[in-house]
Amino acid sequence: MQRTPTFRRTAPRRWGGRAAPWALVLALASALAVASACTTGPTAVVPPTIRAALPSATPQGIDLAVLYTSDTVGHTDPVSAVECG
Amino acid sequence: MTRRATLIKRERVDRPQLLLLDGGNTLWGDAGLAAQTQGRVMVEAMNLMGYSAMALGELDLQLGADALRERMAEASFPFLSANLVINSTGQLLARPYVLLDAGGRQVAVIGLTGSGSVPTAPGEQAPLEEPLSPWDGSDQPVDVPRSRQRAPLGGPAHVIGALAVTDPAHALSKALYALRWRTDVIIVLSNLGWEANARLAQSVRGLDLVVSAGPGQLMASPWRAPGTGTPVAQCGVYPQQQPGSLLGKVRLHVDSAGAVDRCFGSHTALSSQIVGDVEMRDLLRRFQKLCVHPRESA
Repeated sequence: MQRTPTFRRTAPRRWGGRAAPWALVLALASALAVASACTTGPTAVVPPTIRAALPSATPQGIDLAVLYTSDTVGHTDPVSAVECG
Repeated sequence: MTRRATLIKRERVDRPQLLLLDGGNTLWGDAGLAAQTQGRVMVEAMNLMGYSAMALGELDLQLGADALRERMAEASFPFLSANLVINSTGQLLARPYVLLDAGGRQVAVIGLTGSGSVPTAPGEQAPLEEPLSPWDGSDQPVDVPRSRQRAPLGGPAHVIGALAVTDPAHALSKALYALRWRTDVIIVLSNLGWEANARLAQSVRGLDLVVSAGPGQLMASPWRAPGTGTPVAQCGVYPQQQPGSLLGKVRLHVDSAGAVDRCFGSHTALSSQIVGDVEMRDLLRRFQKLCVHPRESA
């Protein structure tokens, strides 16, 4: 009896329909590296792929300006009497 | 808030591509408009100022999951937390990170939520009591008390109502893996507190900036973590005497090899000499009327 071929959409056939072995190793190594570093102290463990590439890096590099706030706990103004609480 | 809006508008004249971030513990307080509107006034004000992203802090979680979802729907910027889940399902409440465009560059901002610094109601998990010793600014590894390490890094989930704050290290790892090869710059927006954030910056390579919030100390000029060189800056502390009285600024340059080679920062005090923004004043007055005369306004 002839079997109808089926097609998997999820992963390359060469890995038997599963995620590629190197991807699993990479994911595990990255997870272990960060978790280990954060729980045991500054051991300079490097997640392997984070700084592997700058997609649009140029010889000039990147300039970035950031403004930031935090912990304002709902204060609309530190001095004025705008609040009605 | 009106003065903050004025300063932000001024900064945008020179640098229209700047990122405007909030580290969290922002939406809710004990009194005032924010408490009475369940944080809505804060979201509307941040919409007006054009915030790029905000990390959810432990104090924000006091609003509860339903009110937070409402605020998220009203916000024109993303709420971020890679380690805040709905306790019953384990699903993330907010986005773990966002990719922002800054002058043609992809900037990833990852949000982390702290735990253990806000007193909990009877019956909930007790907060950690051991006090933090102030960090002395040296290059020695930060010695975080063991009980403090448990909640912010590597410990069990901290339950707040229907929400749970999970291990930020694991969450950060997942976010970094998802972001690989997709971004030029990685910023961590974290209210784990100064000591935990300093440890994170020392331990994880590849981060370009940690915007720190939560318990700890102010750091106007960014501190560079030994070993990694990652700058860490903090302009707000919970709890503090005069919340919302500073605006933090950081300028950094990432070289073509991906290293932060220049980084400058400062705090600007929102003093009474700064003229308040008219648009912001009008917005606050609208909420004030709603607050004082809710029936008339409705």
